[in-house]
Amino acid sequence: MGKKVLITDDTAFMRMTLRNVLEKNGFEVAGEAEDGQQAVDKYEAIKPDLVTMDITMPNMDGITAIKTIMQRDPNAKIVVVSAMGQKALVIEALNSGAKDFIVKPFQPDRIVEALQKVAG
Amino acid sequence: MEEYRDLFLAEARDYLQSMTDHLLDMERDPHDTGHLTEIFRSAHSLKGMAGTMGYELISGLTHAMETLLDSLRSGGVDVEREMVSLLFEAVDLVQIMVDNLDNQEVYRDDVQELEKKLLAWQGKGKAKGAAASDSMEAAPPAAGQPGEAEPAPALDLAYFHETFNDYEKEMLKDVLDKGELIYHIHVWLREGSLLKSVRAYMVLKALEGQCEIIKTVPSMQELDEGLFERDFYFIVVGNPVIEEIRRAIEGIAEIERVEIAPLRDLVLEQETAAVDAAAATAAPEKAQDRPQPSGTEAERPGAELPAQADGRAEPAPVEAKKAGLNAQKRAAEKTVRVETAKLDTLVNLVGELIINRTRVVELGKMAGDELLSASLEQLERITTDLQNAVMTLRMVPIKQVFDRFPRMVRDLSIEKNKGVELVISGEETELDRTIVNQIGDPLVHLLRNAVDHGIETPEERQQRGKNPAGTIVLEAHHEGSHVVVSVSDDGRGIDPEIIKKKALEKGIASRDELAEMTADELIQLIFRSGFSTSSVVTDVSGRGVGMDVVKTGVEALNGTVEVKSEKGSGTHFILRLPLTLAIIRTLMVRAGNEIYAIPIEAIRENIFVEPREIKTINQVRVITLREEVLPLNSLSEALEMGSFEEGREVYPVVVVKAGNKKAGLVVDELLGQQEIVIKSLSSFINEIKGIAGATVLGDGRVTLILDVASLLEDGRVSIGKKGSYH
Repeated sequence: MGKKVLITDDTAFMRMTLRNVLEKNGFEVAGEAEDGQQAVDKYEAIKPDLVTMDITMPNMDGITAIKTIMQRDPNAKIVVVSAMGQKALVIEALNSGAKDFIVKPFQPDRIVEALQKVAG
Repeated sequence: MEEYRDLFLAEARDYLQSMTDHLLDMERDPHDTGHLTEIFRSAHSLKGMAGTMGYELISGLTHAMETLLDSLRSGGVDVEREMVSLLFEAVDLVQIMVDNLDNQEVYRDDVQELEKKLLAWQGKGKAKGAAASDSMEAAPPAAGQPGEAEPAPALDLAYFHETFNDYEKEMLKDVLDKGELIYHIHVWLREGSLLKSVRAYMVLKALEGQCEIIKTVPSMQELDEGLFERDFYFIVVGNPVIEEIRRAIEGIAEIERVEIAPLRDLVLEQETAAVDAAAATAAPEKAQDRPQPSGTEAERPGAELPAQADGRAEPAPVEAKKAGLNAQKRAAEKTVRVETAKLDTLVNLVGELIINRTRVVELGKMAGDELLSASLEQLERITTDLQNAVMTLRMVPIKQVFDRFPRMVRDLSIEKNKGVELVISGEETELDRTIVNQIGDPLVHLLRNAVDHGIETPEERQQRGKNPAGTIVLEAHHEGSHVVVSVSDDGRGIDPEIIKKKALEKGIASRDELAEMTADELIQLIFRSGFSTSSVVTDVSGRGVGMDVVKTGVEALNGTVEVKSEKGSGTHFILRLPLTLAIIRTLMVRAGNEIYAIPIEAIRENIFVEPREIKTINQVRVITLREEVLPLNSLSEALEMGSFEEGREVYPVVVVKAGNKKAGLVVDELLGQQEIVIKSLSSFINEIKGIAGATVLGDGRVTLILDVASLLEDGRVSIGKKGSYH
């Protein structure tokens, strides 16, 4: 049984790409969120094993979402999927509890590796 | 980055030279792995530097060199001449790019082609199946991404100094004394990792609470700015649980590998043992599958972590090591790099000082005060010492020029299918930087000629009972205020008879003149400009390409060149060069109301001529000096400052010479010799023919220095060509 993943990204393209990559590599995509708020809500509902988190999103950004989720579930395993050049934000995300990060545009094996390492 | 460029250039050239030297040595003695280690280290350092500067072509090419060199080291490939040539080719290409940093792109195709060749050779070794590794992919690294599957460099204790400052060394010692351990944690990121600085940050975070990080390479700031390629390392102290650290770091995405080793092993290794081990064992076994740091620093550790990857520290004496390290460090600090323009300014200022001192001393003498005279004497001594000291700053060893010749002679002898051994001695002889910079071309000519025409083919040599391999000796030494550089070969020598024949053909001398010449005089004819330009002459005589160029070049430096040769046993060129061009010895003469300085080098002799000796031929005044017709010219007339003064009882004549041209300069008075500091004329007036520069005399008068060569050249002066007036 693959790990359940919640994909968070405001672009449909990125969500689709991630879904394809993850499903091909044995993960179960349990849900998709289009912004931070949706991610928080769906995390509650789905209880995924892993979350991929975009940083810049409308309504609630990724950092706030990470902080909120971590507050509610200190064992949450969140991997940041950030755009290039967001160094400060990535560090803030890591300090907020994200376990790891990858940078878009990513190579499929990198996101798989990151998620597998975080899943342990 | 631009500010680092000069430093990069200077260091890159050092590394290239070192590679050239050691490649030659390696070819000569393939069993001495020390050379290989040095070449490898230079290539590696160069790669790192180029990578840091963003010169991807250079770093790519040096990477390919490194890969091949590593196969050599692991015994997968043998040292062969062809391969050394290939490596030389790579050194050349890097040199070209270093010399043309702004146009590196032009060489992209060349670089790629050469990279392919280098890697193909390396592939050859692999096919042999010797010690070549499985993990090492022969695929050429994409330019700009060095660091892929690189071998480890030699065990290098220089690493210790370069890595730690004195304070840190002390601290490390204390840590060891306390019984804590020092670990070297080396982390490689996967290729193409983005936001590398954040990766480094994650690694640092993973170490938090486990141990104390006392040093990072590159520096914390560079890590923070992502200024590294794929790897970085930390020096940590404490008693961490290694496996936990390892797991934590390996749990981070895009970490390719982690190596953790106690540093104690490194510090305690004996230096000699270390070097041997590097050459002999470390490389073959470990090098191949160990990616190599390729970062911002010139030297990085790699194989300095001995074979045991998670080794347990073994106690050994630290102190003995330290002594060696300190000595090494002192040697490294012996020199500083200074911009040459600054040196020139200093030399100029000292020149001014000397001139003013002379004036002050003269004034002091006039004042007649004893106390003043005494202190002025002191001043004179000190300034003289100062002048000498400053002059030595301009002096550089002739090695700078000599260094490129072994390579050149090697290539040339291969091209010509001749065995040639170049023996160099006296390369530490120092002379003025300007001269060193300009003596290269004449020497190249001489050496090329020696290989090309002087040394016979191996068969020919054997027939004559000579060693099949010829020897060329390049030698330099001091001789008074001169440096003598000689190029001697044990080749076929110059045949005066052939010279005679050719000189006749070329119309350089008449049959009668030639008949009177001694063998030695005939040989000197090779310096005549008409003589030596033809390749036909070269092929027949075995000598002569551009010999006039050599002569002109040497004379431009106020030097002289002569040749001695014995048919069948060799040729000997002797170049006599002044130590410096900034200060010259001159003869001061008066012509009319002006005083002129004539460089001693240009003067053959001084004579006094009585009016009855002077004859007029074709409206030119001449005298016969030792059976040679010498045209006389009034110096004032030549410089358009006056005319020949008739009716004197006796005329002082300075016989000057430049090249093969000779003339007598009639002056009014000979004032004696003096050392003068040359002040070049400003660019507005430096085109004046006949004047080389100016100097200021002790009494403040400005005196012009004659440029005898240009005076004789531009037709102001009637000249006699040696040999033409017999």
